[in-house]
Amino acid sequence: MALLGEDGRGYELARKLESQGIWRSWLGDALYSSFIPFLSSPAAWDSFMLPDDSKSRPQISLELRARALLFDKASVSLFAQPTALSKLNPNYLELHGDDVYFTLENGGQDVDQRHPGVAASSTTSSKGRSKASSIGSRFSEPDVDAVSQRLRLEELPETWYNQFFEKYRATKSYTLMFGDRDSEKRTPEQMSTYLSLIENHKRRRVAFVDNISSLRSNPVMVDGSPADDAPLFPETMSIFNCVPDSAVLITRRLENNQKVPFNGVLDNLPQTMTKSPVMSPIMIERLGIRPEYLSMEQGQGWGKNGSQGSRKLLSQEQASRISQKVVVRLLHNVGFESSSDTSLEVIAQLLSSHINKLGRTLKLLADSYRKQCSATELLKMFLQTAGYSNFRTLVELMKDNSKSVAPQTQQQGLSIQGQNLPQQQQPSVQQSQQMLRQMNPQMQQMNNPQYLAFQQQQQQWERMRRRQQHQQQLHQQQQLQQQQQQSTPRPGMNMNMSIDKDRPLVQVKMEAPSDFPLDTNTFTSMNPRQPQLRQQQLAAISSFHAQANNNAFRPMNSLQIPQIHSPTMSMARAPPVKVEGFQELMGGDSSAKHDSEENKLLSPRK
Amino acid sequence: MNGQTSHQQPKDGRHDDDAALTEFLASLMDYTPTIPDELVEHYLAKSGFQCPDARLTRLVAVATQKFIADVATDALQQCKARPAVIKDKRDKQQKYGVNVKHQEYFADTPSAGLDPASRDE
Repeated sequence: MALLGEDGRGYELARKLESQGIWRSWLGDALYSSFIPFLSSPAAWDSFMLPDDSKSRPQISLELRARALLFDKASVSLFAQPTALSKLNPNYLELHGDDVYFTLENGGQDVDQRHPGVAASSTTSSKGRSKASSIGSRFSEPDVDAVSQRLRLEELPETWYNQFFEKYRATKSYTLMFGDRDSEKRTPEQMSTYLSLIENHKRRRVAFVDNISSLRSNPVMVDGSPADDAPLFPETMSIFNCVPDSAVLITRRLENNQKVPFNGVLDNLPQTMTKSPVMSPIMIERLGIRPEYLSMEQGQGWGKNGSQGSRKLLSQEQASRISQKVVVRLLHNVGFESSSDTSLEVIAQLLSSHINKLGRTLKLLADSYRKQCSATELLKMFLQTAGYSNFRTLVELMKDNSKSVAPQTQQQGLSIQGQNLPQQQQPSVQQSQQMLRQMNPQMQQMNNPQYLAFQQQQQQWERMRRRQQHQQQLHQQQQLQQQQQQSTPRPGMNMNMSIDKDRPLVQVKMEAPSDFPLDTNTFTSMNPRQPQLRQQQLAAISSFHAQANNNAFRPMNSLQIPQIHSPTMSMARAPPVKVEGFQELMGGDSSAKHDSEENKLLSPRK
Repeated sequence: MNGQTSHQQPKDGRHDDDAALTEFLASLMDYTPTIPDELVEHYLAKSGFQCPDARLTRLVAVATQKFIADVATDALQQCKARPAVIKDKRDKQQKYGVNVKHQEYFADTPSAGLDPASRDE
């Protein structure tokens, strides 16, 4: 306590108390005369305060009584900011009888037979902290009895509080308390008066003040007359109108607002160290690299925080919508091609009910067997209850889904995309789905490694298509040469050269379908059958364009043309149509392969 | 001695099961279930169970996925089997002169679909 000085002996405080004449009141005249020499110097005071076995019992008792007052007055520094002695309120240092409670039991009888109940009462007092600070100096009731007996034996006078209480019991206010109690009633006015009294009382007894004169500026009125720091006993003065300072209980201890982490039994599932050669335990330790599912804090950080709420919260509507999408995907995985709204809703509800059921099972197991079983055992019980005691079936499901996910992700994504359309467009959605299954959905997952394998397949298909195109072109050129020339020494070379020359004429920009008539090559004039077929192809292309645009799959346009050409290629012998954008979309260096394919003379496929 | 070995074997078996379960839980993080974690957590929270461990969430997701897949598979099999049965039945009944084709439409009144002139008559 700061007020007791650095050595804790409290010499300065003792000197201050002496300046106000408190020691004489506290100790009584007899003890005061033996006590005062010790205040002459710090050394004497130290010898007085130091525990010494050579001291007699009266000396020790005197020392204890002095210490009681010192600590009583110094204890205010435990609750307040450390302040200098000079800022202590002189009124605070004085002795006040109302700093303690006294019992009202058997108050009407003469209590000379019993010892006065100077009890160290509880902290729930309406007198505030000033009372709490003075409790430490009081003897508790049984201790008072023992001490008082000892004091009598050793001729020490009674404590100051006992003397005060004896005097107070003889006063008029104490005797009136046991008079006509029925006339006193609880009224708002008296309660208000009580609160103002208490407030003024506290202000007068405040321990530290900056300006002492401010204390005297507000005189306190008690019963119509100014009270000069008269003792205030609410338990006798206003029995029926005592009220606390505020309706909210003041908690004196510091509240711990820190969130206490609460881990359920299933929050600490066993962790495994990965067996991956890349992420060895040594690497984890040295480089600090950890897989995503390993965290520093067990049970936390497994992709989300527990109660912190970094995960996304869903509303009921969002959950039902997502459930339906999930059901669509699940049905598609199983093999369904279409479903009605009602069945989707039913299965979505079944899904939510099943998850609810599993959650209830988990909760029941965790609550019931939290203490008896470990997390692993609880999990086993859960799996057995759910019907998956042999979780191999779940492992197989995961493997099957992992295999089927790659080629189906694109189609699934499209099906989910199709589901986003209004329900009325379901037939068109299904139609578009079927169309797109035939096409190459390249707009999604371009970086997927599975996509690369798919891309290779598409390249092979393209090579085959071009082989057919070139075969037809060769046939047309043969016809032309037969018409123009009689001999063809090296049909291969001439064809190649003609192909090379004629190639630029063949190239057509697919993004401008209106340019088709302008870009028609010379072959169309030579083959009378071609214009008709060409028109048919153009009509098919334009209609397909319209459909594709309506279905918002515009980037697919460039890929549609090969599909249309393939069925008519063999009969129309149309010149090959090169799609500029197609190679870019494929992303491969197919030009070299194209050249290699060109230079080969291949027999027509049957 | 024999008793000790026999007593150790169940312990070893239990240990293997625990290890297998732990590995399975770890493998769940490498697999993304069809049912998103948020949806599973939503319904689990609705039932009163909350767990910050994502492995448990995914376990529930996989179990539910298996359940729905089994139901859907059975339904698909029933769906495929049903038309064949009905077709055979219909053909046989037609053979005996019984027409069990579905109505093309259902009318509210006997005069529905008739011309107004004929309706007046």
